[in-house]
Amino acid sequence: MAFRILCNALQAIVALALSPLIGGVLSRLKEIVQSKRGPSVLQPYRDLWKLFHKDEVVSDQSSWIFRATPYVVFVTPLFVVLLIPVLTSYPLFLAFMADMVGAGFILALGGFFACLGAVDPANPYGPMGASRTRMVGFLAEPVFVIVFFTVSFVAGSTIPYIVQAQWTRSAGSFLAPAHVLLIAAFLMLILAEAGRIPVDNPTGHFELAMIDESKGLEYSGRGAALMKWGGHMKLMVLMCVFLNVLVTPWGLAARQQLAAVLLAIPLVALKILALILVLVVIESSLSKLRLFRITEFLGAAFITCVAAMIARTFAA
Amino acid sequence: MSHLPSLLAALNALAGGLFLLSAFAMVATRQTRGCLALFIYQSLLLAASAFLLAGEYGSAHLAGVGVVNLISKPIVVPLILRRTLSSEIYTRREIEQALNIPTSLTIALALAVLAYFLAIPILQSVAPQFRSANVPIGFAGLLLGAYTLSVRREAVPMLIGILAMENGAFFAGIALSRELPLIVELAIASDGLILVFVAGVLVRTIQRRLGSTRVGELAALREAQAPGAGRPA
Amino acid sequence: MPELLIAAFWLWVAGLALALLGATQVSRWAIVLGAAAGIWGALSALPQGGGELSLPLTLYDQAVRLHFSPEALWLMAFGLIPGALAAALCTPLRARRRGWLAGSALSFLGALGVFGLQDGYSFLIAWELMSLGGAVMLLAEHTSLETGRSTLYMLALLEVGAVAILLALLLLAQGAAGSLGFGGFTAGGAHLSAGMRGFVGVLLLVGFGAKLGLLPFYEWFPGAYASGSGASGALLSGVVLNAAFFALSRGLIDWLPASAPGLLGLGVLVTVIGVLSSILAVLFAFQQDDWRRLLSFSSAENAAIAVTSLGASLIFRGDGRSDLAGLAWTVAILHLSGHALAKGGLFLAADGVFAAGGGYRLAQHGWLRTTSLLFGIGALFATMSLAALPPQIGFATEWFTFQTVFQGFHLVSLGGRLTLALAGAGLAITAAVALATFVKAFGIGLLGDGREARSAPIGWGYNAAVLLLGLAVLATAVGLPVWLRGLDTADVVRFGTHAAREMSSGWLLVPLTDRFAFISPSKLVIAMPLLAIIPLLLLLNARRHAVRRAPVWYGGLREDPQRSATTTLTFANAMRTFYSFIYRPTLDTAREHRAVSYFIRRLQFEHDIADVFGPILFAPVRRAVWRISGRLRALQSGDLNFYLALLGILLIVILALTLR
Repeated sequence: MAFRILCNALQAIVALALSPLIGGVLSRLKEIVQSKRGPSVLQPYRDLWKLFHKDEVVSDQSSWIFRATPYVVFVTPLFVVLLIPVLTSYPLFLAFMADMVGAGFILALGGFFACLGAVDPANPYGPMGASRTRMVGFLAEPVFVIVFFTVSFVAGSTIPYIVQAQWTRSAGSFLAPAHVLLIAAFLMLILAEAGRIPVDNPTGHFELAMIDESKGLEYSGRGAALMKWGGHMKLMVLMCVFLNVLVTPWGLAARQQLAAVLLAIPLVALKILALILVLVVIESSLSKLRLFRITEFLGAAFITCVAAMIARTFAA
Repeated sequence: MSHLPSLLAALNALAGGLFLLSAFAMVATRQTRGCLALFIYQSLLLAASAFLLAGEYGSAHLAGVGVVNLISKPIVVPLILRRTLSSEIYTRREIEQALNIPTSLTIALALAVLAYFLAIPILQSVAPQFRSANVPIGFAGLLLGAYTLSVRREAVPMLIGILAMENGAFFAGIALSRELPLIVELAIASDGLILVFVAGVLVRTIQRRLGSTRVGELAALREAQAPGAGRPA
Repeated sequence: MPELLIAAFWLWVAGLALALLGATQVSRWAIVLGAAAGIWGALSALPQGGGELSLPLTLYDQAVRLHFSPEALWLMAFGLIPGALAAALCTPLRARRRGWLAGSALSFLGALGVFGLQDGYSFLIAWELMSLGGAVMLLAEHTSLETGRSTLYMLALLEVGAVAILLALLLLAQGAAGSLGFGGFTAGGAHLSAGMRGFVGVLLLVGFGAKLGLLPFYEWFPGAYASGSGASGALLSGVVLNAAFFALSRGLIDWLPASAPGLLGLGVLVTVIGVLSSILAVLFAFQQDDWRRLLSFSSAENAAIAVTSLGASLIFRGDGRSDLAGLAWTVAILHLSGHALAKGGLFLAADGVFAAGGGYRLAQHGWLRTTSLLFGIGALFATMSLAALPPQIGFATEWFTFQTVFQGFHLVSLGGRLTLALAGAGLAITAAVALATFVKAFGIGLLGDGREARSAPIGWGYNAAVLLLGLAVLATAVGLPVWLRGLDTADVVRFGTHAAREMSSGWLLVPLTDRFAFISPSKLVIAMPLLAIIPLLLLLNARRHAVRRAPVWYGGLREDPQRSATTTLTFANAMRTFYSFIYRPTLDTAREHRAVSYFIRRLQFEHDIADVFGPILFAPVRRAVWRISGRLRALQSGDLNFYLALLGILLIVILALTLR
């Protein structure tokens, strides 16, 4: 019992501490690929530190929704971390609160508040970003649900730990056609949800071209820090779901020992690094899509995972 | 599935999944070059599946099919196309389509469902470990290729659509008959190459006459030659 | 105490009479008391279901009997909660309270009858009364110029439905040896041939679907709802919608036999109609720029989701999985009950904005910033529930709906499996668009800049009602494991399984087994605020940094915030452009200028989206009616000889019929 609570805390701390690093490594590697030097991998930490020590400026037309949003955006991915296998392959103390579909809804809660926070302060760019995020989201969120729908056909469950155990046990269903399609769809989903190229350019500075970033334009100081940190954690959560549940369900701590759990940290970090490399290749080789082409991109993701579901339906 | 599938069968299923993915991607892609690249991937997957099936069934014929495929489609077809066509065709980014991409993808999905339905009666003659992969996915490849052929308005992607249809038919076929005579496959492969060659020449002619390869614009028959349209090639 | 339901009946009759007499204040409280008695009576009788009650009325020499099954009581209680609050607040149009109260009393009476009556004649009367009550409310309020037309449109479509219901009842009675008592309908359904059974199923779907807003009938929703106030909307999508759903579920599940060939097909049909309606309704909801129209489309969407679950229940039943059928059916009931609370909350919030002088148009006037926190919390909770966000009840029921269709892999039949899989995909799209819709409703309707266009703060009555409904939404979700037991008897009677009891395991909500999936809104409510301690701790050291309030930075320009405010069109235009093949949007810009075109005097911009079924389905019917009436005009030509000839023909017909 005490051990499981400790593991839970450890999981949360790993997510809190390592998630900014993902963004740092990603942008550094991208710059290196483009023959530039780029900022240090620790830059996201410096940004957060800086923002936490700044005063906050708030629109005089905003309500309490605007002030509450950073907390929700920060807490929802952290909460999902408690539900999914990040380090261990056995469920932890707080995992019995929601399954993967529930976790998807919890992530949507953060997105909902982020949109409201963008609409609240009467800044013209925020609502534009919110509207665009919804346009991206109305195809991206179904992908999340359908992926776990299909997974439930195979594993007979939408509980991430059971799914993960199922994959590690049988290589046959792991390599099934449906699974390949699922992985492709989920990778596209990660690109869309995390606002990466080809859906969105995270390094862009032009408000009219922004999708995800413009929602946070009005935040400053601590609010901005929490929003940014929440965004980092969300990317990490999606990566963990992708890696630990769908693609490489190996390398997690199977025994209830502290050493095993600690050993899992570098292994998971290694997996995430590999995924970052894939993202770097994608980001460096593709260009950002035009706004209405994004829905085509996500439509492709949607159709792919529905095809996976159908393949699975017929195979069952 | 009653028994545990072997590693070869599992890998074959993986190839099947990727094959289906590439077929969908071919419907979604807007670039000629992307289309060609996807076709090459698809052909490689077909060859891989043939080798895997050859290993599972212990059939030399299927291995031969794999070798022929490996040589003809990913290597010779692009070479012929590159020889016969000008580079302008390759660099065009946007292919015109009769329907937009989301609609296309939805129709493609419906076709995939249809393919799975069509495959049900044939599945009895396939070894159980390959049922989930080759036949339905091959049928889907066939139908999606036919679909691409019918909505694209550019000559080269249409040609690739024909080739994708052939890929799909083979993908299903190699699982259905273990002892496919090599001569059949050779004949079909050479047929395919001749088709590519002829079509390539045709496309080149069209391009020389019209300045483009948008065959979607070829809507009316003309008796007499328009003045100044150039000599026939 | 089920007798309280009889008390509710009399209170509503009294309310109706008093309203007609003009004593609006007394009438209002009589109706509210009636609704409260209804809620209390329904809840107190819940686990078992109400016993036999009879009204001192006779119809064809038979006493009118009422019998309430547990799910009827459940749906009625949840529908009456927003209904009672809406009646207490009354319509915000003071001058039109009299007619509105009469209409609402009629609606309540009709709904009570639909829930409780046990024979065909009285049921049809109650059904018509319910439709009529709605029409009276809307006509009394008359908030738009098109009220008459849209109410007529509503009544016309509902009549199409009523005819279908009548036909279905007659066919079922034919099987039950001619008796129109509902007790014999189960046997009646079993006697029908397979084709007839399917036909009766379709008739029931059309009949009750007209009220539920299924494809293609949802098109009367926006016009009719927009002719009334939010209070009417709260009634129509609360108790009235629930009554219609109860009637549909009774027809499809109880009257048609449990296992018969062809029912799987009917289940597939119901599921497909449900999914398609939900997608279309929510896509149109997203494009609306009026509180009532947006919420009405969303009501159609939620009813369609419940119908999808009902279809899943039929599919499972046809496949012999009565446990899963019980799950699906319970989920459908739960979904509508949660929806009634949340939707009522938002309708009353819209009324609050209207009463404070804001109108029903969705526009950014910063209502949330300037009104009480209580109003904001209530509206936020209701919005979250409709957007299916945790931890509200809408989340729990939407999740349950997903888990129900996920169970499709248990099915033997390939068609059923495929249908449920695709239904899952459709529902996922619906959920995502619903989220966007309610971001828009809340964000545009209640947030934003509020420096002008403000007359009065939102009244305390609305604050309290919205807060109450918001908290009810949360409480329903948190206590769901406990409340679920109220539906257990209904499941046992119908499906022979304890589906409702097996849907919770401790404080977890599970789709019959906790090995497949689980959520726990109860634990979420505790754990999420606890986690919020972490960011608060992080901020402790930052205490000394001040928060400064300043006007929004417009890139250095001096912008008028109202002119640059986000409108509903700017928010929805991206989707409108992308989905133009469904919306078929029209844009029209007219410029009026003096001699030189640079100086525009007036710029008129109009935009609209086209209905899907109106032009294809209903317009030809209307044209046909016109054409026939044109022909029939000859009948009133004024020619005396012609009339006399008609009389002669009539005489011959009568003689031929009687002397045959």
